[in-house]
Amino acid sequence: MIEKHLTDILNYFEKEYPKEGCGVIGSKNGETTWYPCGNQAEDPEEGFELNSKDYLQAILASDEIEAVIHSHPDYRPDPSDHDISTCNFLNLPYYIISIPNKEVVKLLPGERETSDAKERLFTRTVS
Amino acid sequence: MQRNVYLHGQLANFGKEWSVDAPLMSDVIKLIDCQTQGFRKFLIEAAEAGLELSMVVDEESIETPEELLLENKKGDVHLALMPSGSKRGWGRVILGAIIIAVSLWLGMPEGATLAEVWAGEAALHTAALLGMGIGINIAMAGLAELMAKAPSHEQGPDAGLFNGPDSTVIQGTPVPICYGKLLIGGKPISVNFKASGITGTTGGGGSTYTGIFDSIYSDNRDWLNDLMEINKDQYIVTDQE
Repeated sequence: MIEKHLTDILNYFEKEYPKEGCGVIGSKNGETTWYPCGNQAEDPEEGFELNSKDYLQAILASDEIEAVIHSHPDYRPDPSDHDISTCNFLNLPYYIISIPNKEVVKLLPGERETSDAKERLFTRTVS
Repeated sequence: MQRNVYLHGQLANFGKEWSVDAPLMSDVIKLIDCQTQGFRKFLIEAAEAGLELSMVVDEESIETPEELLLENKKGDVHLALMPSGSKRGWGRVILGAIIIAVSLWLGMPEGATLAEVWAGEAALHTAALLGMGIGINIAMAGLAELMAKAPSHEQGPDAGLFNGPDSTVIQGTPVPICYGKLLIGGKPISVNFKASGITGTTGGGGSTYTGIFDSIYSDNRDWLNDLMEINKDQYIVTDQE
């Protein structure tokens, strides 16, 4: 799914460097489109959060959001706890691309648990 | 005023399109919560998972919780959970948590003051009280994390070991080795702040449901004071060799 748009994605992420770049892939009538989104995180070099308006435009323009893609500038492309947790909750595959190494890691929902998953589960059970 | 509310993504499970008569943004969330089962719980779980709730009204996104209470926000509303993440560890969820809390706060029965709710003395329905507790706790955890800045290191001549952890906790500062009978506290090597309750902890961005336990065990909380009383003596004088 991502291969077709990889050049555009990498160009966008390199333009955003050293900030984390982010965006989504949406599908309409079987065709996938890459929607780059602004990063409205408090500290855009350490995290990402899709710009609400850009994200909404992507949602309205497509039938379904297929994947969330973001970059890890100057860092390994492994998903962090926050990435894993949000990926599992949204039930959307995450692609993480390290810049400038251009390594791609795919994270499927439910594939991994956060390192403190047991602790969180325990708290929820107790309460 | 009559307006359409569109729910996207995971939220669409609670109805894709709503036509509501709600002048305030907070009323929109409250209204959907009243009509569906588990909307509030879902939003709280999303905030715990580290997700922000995005609200776009008439092509303008809501940036601060105060805007939830403005009546001049007209037009259709789009609600979605915004994908987010951090390079390392956990990011903070502030706005989403506050949006939930503000919406729930206004769901308080009329005539109940804040103090009464905190003390658990108001004759509220138990479920309403528990829901409030969770919402408030999430917001408090977010706020507390926001306020807990990294310890500062004073560079001036006033900085000293005995000023407290603020002035000494920094990478590379020497660790003193003391001999004899000491009448001082230890030197913290690492200080970690975590917003948590009595019953257990969650990772950053999460919260514990102190509100529930506070209201249930408010009468039996003396055991905690007793515990602290017993242990107090052990920490005043430390013998070291």
